[in-house]
Amino acid sequence: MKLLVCSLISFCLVPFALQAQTPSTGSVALDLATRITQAPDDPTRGQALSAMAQALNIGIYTSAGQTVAAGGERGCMDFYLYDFEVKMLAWAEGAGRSPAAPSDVAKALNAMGVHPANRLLTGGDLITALAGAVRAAYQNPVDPAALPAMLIRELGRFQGYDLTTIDPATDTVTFDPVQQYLIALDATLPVLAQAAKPGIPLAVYFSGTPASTSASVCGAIGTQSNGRRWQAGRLAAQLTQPPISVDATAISTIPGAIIDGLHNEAISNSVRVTSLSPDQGPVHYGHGGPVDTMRFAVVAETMVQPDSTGPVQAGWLAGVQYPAIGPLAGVGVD
Amino acid sequence: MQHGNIACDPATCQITGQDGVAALTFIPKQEANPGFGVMDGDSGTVGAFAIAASRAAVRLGTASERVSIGAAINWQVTFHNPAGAWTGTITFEEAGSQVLPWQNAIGSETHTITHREVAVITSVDYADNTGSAMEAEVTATGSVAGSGSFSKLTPTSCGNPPVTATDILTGSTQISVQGNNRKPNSPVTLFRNPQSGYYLLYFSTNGMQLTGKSSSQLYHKGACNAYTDGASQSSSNSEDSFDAEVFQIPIQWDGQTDRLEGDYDPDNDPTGETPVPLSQRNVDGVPTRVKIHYKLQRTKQQ
Repeated sequence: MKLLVCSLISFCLVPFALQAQTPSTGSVALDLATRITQAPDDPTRGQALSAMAQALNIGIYTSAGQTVAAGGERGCMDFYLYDFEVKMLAWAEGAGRSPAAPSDVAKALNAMGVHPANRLLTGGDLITALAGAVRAAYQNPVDPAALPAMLIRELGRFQGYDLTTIDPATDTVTFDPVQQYLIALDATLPVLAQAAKPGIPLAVYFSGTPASTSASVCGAIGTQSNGRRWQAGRLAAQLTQPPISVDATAISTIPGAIIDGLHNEAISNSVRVTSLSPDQGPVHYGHGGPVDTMRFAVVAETMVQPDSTGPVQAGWLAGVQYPAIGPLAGVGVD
Repeated sequence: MQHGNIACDPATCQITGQDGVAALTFIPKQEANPGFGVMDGDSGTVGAFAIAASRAAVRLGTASERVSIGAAINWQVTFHNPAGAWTGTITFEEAGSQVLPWQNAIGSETHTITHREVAVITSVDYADNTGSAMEAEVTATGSVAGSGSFSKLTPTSCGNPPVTATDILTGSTQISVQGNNRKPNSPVTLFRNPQSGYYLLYFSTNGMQLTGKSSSQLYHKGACNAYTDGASQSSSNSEDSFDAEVFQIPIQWDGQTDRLEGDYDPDNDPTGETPVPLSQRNVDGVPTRVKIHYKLQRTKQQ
């Protein structure tokens, strides 16, 4: 009898114990969103973002190529994050970089080649696909690959909207810097993961020559890969289906564009652009005489830079010299 | 650039300099026809964008989209919009004594209108509506090749009430009419009349000259003031012409719709202004009546 009771208790308790040890993807998303949005300072927010990267199985390395956390990267020329990019994202999220409209986020994807075969991706496409991705994520809430979509949704809820209930045709939403980055990751990482076909050396696909000519530019990057893939893909699945039909086959042949795009997006988070002019106008066309004009002025500043002041020493961005904190030349305005 | 030009220091023109600052001045355009058209406007933002300096972009040889990185400054420009180009047809139905020697004619002219270049009048069709056993073929030759058309003319009456004159034409009934048919010589535009609140469909036409000639004899008997007898008479006289005219047809328009279709009857002008000039047409005691049907579509402003 005693044995039977114990067996019953074991039978009953084990599932609960497992459940407690393995939180659902939804609860992970909520926890991360809370940590990211409620962090009191940038270092704390950076820790939350590092945890996010680990949950997505994205490795983090220093500019010298030292391992902060290994992930699913398949080599030195694969995708991973630098620790200073995490710092930049933490600053942008905390400092209130202006949220981006869906059309601007779509532009970032277009720049990476993520668009249908015969046209560019629009903001409307993105919202529609994202809403579908979130719905799909909650249909299989224990799948770790649902994390980016769920986290995008949870971060949206902190801003006052819910991607599971919005009307893509009428509701206006914007995306904060972390959401923007998650969208880029969720749209591209599955494609990037498929860029290396079985039997074909990764070097064929990830053969970008680092900016530095040094042969030892990898450091420890990629040497401790855990062999698991990145946890993402609900958005990519929506984008590649009709009616949007992003051409995944075409973009899988240009993985370098995706990796560059992801690093560019992270790096752009180190820049603050401030308006020096109030809103302008209205001015009226001339009627043959003098006309009123409008004057626009902005100032761009680098707010975050890598810990070392020299060029990045290892990995995809080896040789890239980041601007020092302060005024930044070369930012386009139009 | 759509609404004007940028003036700035080349060193900091649309790209930040060493101090991180970029400054530019926008100078709006001059209106081609100052004050003409509907008040319109446009707005947007000026902001900074990330310059793609990626190695992949270099490898691909493609220009990346400009991804905004912040500092949007809103701007607003206003201008008088001549409402783009309107294209379509304007059909005139005219009844009265406006065409001599075939008085009491009723017919129609179809004006096909384009923004810049006219416009072919595809037909001239004057036909007496009184009916007669006598018929004449009238060939209208427009100024544009291929625009001629055929119609029946039954010049059996004139005056009001009609006076039957079945022997107006004898011999050959072939009459040719030549001349530049009336056609628009300006874009069809819209502007708002602040007094009436109506929009005015505005365009002007060239004058119209008709020269008619019978191939044998043209007789006229009756009360009409054209010809009494003769052979191969030319019908070219002042009454065979239309002067150049300006039409301002009041319509109701929401300022947005790109299609306009409707009828206009000057006798029932909604503004009470009868903006279509009619006086010169009232000859021979028979008031001219004009009805206009317009069917236009707005195209993008050029």
